[in-house]
Amino acid sequence: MIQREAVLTAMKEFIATHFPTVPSDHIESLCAGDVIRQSLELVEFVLHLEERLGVEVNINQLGESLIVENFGALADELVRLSEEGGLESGTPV
Amino acid sequence: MKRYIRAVYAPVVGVPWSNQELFNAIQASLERWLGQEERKALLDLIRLFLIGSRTRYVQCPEFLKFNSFAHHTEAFERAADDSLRAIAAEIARNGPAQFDAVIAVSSTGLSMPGLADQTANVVRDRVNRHSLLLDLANAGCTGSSRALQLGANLGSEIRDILIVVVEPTSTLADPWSVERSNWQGVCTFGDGAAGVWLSSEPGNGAAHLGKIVSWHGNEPDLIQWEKGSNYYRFGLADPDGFERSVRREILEATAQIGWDKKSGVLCGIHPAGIMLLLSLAKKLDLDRATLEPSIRHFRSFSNMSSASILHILRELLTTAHSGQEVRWLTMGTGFHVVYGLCTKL
Repeated sequence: MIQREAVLTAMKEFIATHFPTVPSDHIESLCAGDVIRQSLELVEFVLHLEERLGVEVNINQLGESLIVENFGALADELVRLSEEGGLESGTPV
Repeated sequence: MKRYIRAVYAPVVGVPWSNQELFNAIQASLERWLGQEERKALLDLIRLFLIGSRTRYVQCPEFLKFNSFAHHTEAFERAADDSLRAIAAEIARNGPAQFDAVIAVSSTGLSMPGLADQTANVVRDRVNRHSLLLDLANAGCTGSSRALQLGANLGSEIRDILIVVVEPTSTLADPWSVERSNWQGVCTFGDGAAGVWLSSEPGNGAAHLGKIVSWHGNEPDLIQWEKGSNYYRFGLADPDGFERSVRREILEATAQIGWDKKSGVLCGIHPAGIMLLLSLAKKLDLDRATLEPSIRHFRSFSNMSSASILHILRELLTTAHSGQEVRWLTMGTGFHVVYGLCTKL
């Protein structure tokens, strides 16, 4: 099961690297879709989370949350999925 | 026997639609018949599928108004004719005196006479009266690779082979469906056409065709045609588990197909989607520069089913230097994976 703090840390890492002008200290309230605007960036974001958290993230399961929710809610969703066994451990590729 | 890729034909067919233009068209279509609450949920999903800047080419701009079996089939037939004529124009600039075989590929429709026969009529002066004419249908995104695999294994009496690929994916769209997989298909695919001149003789700008390895997995229903409102439509057996299943299949396939790491090769990967492209690149240890032609293709054309890899291959062969290896990897319904390589002369 993944921890919320670990998810947020991974998210902040990605934002700090790819969107250095975005204040990563307050990402929880930021809408993911306002920051990540390209499909390539979105996939790189998901792959980064997979690598950092050691789980497989199913983009289809997260669905539209990836662009309509804020990062805090996304982190909650990932934690919820991991509690329900919806995230497999180990990055597949 | 040795086979050479003498030319890759990569015409651009249809008109370009951006992600925003497609979203607007879908929104207008759904507003005509779908209730507000359902529409909002579906449009949120479509917005995710259409995130960012990407274009696709559309041969049937009216596809969101299809309302009968005839609409779909007539659109396919028109698009197929346009595509074959576009390929014929490229053949006129660079082709043999006569083709001994025509292999026609499509996974987006059926017609009789088949596409190989239609091609023989469109390029009448270049197709031998005794030619082998064969339609290779419903092989999905690996269709053109399977055609290359077949062409590579034809007998020596067949010297020059024409492969034509006709993929007007928009003709499979079901505008009256609320099924997620239907819209995932609508948002992922674009219309495309391509061709290959394969020969037993080398020539200017040719590439020697090397090995082609195929692998068939354990997920036959992963990607399929489903019965839509009045025609076939693109479907996924398990939309929620799709990415996971595909990645698992690809992982197994790459262990079986003999992909060895080698520096200095150019690589084309079928642009099934950005997620799979990047996942695969990690697995195959490909850097971003190597992946860039495939990513660029996806951004400009989206996924044109089995026409895409040929467009990417054309770019790679144009930039390859003499002696350089060019590899391609395609995957699709079956679950089927094809890995091929060639060497620029």
